[in-house]
Amino acid sequence: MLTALLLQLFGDDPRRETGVYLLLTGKRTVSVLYAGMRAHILQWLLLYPTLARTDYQAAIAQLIRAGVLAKTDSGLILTDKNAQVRAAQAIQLPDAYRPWMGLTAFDQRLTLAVQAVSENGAGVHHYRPAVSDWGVQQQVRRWYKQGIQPHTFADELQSLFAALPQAAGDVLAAGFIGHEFVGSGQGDLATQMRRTQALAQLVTLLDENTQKWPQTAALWGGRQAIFPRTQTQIVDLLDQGFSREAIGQRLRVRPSTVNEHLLTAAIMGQALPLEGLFPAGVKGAFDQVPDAAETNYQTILTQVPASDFFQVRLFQILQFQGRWPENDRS
Amino acid sequence: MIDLDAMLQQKFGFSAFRPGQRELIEATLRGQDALGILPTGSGKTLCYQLPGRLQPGLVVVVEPLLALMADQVARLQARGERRVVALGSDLSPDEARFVKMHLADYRFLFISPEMLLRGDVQALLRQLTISLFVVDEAHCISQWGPDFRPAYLQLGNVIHALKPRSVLALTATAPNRVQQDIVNGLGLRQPFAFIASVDRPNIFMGVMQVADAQSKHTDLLAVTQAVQGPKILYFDRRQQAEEVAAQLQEKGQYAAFYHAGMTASARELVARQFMVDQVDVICATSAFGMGIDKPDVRLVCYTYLPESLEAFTQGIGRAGRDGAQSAALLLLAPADMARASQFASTLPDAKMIKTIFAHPELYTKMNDPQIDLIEAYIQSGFSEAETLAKLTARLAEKQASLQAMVGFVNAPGCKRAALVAHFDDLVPTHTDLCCGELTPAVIAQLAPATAVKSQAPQAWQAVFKQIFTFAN
Repeated sequence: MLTALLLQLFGDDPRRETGVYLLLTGKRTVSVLYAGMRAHILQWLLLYPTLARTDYQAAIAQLIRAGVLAKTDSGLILTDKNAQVRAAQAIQLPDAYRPWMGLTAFDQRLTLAVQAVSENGAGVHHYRPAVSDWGVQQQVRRWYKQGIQPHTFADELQSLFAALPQAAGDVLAAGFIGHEFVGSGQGDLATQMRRTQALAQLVTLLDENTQKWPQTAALWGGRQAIFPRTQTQIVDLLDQGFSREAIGQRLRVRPSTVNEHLLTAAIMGQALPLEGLFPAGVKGAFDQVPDAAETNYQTILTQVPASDFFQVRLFQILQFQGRWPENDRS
Repeated sequence: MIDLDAMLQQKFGFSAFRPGQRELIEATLRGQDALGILPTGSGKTLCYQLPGRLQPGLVVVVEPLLALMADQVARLQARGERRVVALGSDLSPDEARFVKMHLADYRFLFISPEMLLRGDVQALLRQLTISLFVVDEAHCISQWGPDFRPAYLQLGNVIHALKPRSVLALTATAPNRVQQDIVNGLGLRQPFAFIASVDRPNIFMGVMQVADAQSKHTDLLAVTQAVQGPKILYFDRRQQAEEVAAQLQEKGQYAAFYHAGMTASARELVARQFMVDQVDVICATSAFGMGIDKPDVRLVCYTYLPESLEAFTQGIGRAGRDGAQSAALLLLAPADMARASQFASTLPDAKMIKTIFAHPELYTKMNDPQIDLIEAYIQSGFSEAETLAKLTARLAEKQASLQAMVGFVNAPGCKRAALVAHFDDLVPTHTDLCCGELTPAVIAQLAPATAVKSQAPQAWQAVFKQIFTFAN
């Protein structure tokens, strides 16, 4: 099953085996995110945080042995498109999923909250918790103490499930544990992905209208910050007109850290004030680069000698995303 | 004088103590150190849960695995104990800080030996009254044993520094020399000892060696279908566990798989399905077992050669906890021996040790057992040379453990006698339901079992009706 999932993350262009693994498990470095963006698989960042490296490597080796992936100097390429189609039928990627949803943690909170409400609603106060994670238990305890009433929460959850496709509601409910109840869910990867999809659909509803389902929205906790606070601070300071150097001095972080955070922000789609990052002359030189889709940064660096690696990479990111101000190109 | 029987009934809902429990509890209550060797499923945890509720002060319980800690915490929570916490590496820095700041508020603290070696943690604990210091899985202290854990060697010093009122060492299996290692290593003072037999007379000890992998597979499916009631099949590969579960499902069995590659939620769900008889066959890796105290398991089958007789004894001890006739089966093909031998020769070499010692911070959480082992030595304060020496000795011990396992499989005569002799236990009398091939005649004599219950509904509307009964 894992092979079916992984095969869908490769394509005609070479992709680094390790990069794909790190993306799935949530490594958020510029190189991992940049490669993920170029391969159009950035959406799957953090999709499978518990995936063991050994399992991943074994599955990739199996795909290579089966002849559906091939090794090249620059990474793995897909060699059998039909196999990929079959893989997509065997296991569906959860297209509603987004990294900011924080689904792994929310899944645990929802499971424990449903159990707590079910048991307490039945008058039972001592039970083996469905989730052993201490942090999750504390979060649910705090949530419950906000004045959760079993009736109200049950009604709200029912209304939320009614807004989901039937199959999504079913797969979520199959994972519940309650008073004298154990769901019929299975542990296979296909079910795991269906559950992720269903949770993502549920979170999408919560994100669109937190007022409609306030107790569940509180349990979810809103969009999760997947990057450190420093990143937000750096982008804010840039917006205020500070230079990269000044930001580094002000926040006492190295210049390379400032650059990493800005590139990461750009990859994740944040708007950056380009005038503060590209002096007019350099901007003009980038506009004149013969092949704007060039992937080799050294080639571009040669063509824009007044620039640095940061500017070249940012140019490449924005070009790829179609966000480089094209109207300036002449 | 405390009425222990009344406490047992009132706080735990049991009408009588199991062998050894009362004696060990009484020893700890009078401030005496104690060593309890009690088989898996015989109620070791009660030996510190009950004193913990009777005495003021903190009960510190050292556990070697996060999963064991989580399980013990959940058990106490299920009994209504709120003042319980596990201080493990899975907590976030903020969470760990909170727990450390509030240690005095807890009655039970579960902690890994590595965490306990930290100076800041010891400093906090020294300010508290520790009524009881429990070393669970105490055999991990012995370098003779297969589960040796470097940090356990330092626990004697920790105990000396923390000065608990009494120390209780618990384990399921320990031959004489391991018992000595525990007593000396922990510095137990004239301990009371309760040593139970490892023998479980109600578990038929099946050992079958078949010609090849295909025969093994056929026999496995046949035996699984023939034995009625809950069954646990152990595999050494996750994929095999998944495949056999799928094949059994196709044959109409209520089967599921369980391994460490699943999410925590999925593992919890499957374990509970097994506990409530919605699933009657679990195809699992060794990850399955902790917290599984199901009384009526009728068969535990190993489809590979376990790394040691200790691991094997612990695994098959999950059968027949209700005392009714059940069976264990070790089902092997020739290739299994070679595979086990290969595992037993795998330990980090000098080059690898040197590499990791150079930059230990680069190799944390690598999910590689060999690297994790070296990291464990580093965390426990061992030098590179000491680690190399200990790992070299360890390789010999691993191979000795395997040899003991192979000796058991090939032992002429009574297998049960061979097993208990390894643990320096009294050799029982051989009977017809003692050991040998798990034939249809033996299977016919296994105790009747609970039928699989009806499955939970599929539609979420029906599920809501069951879990939110108050809202209907």
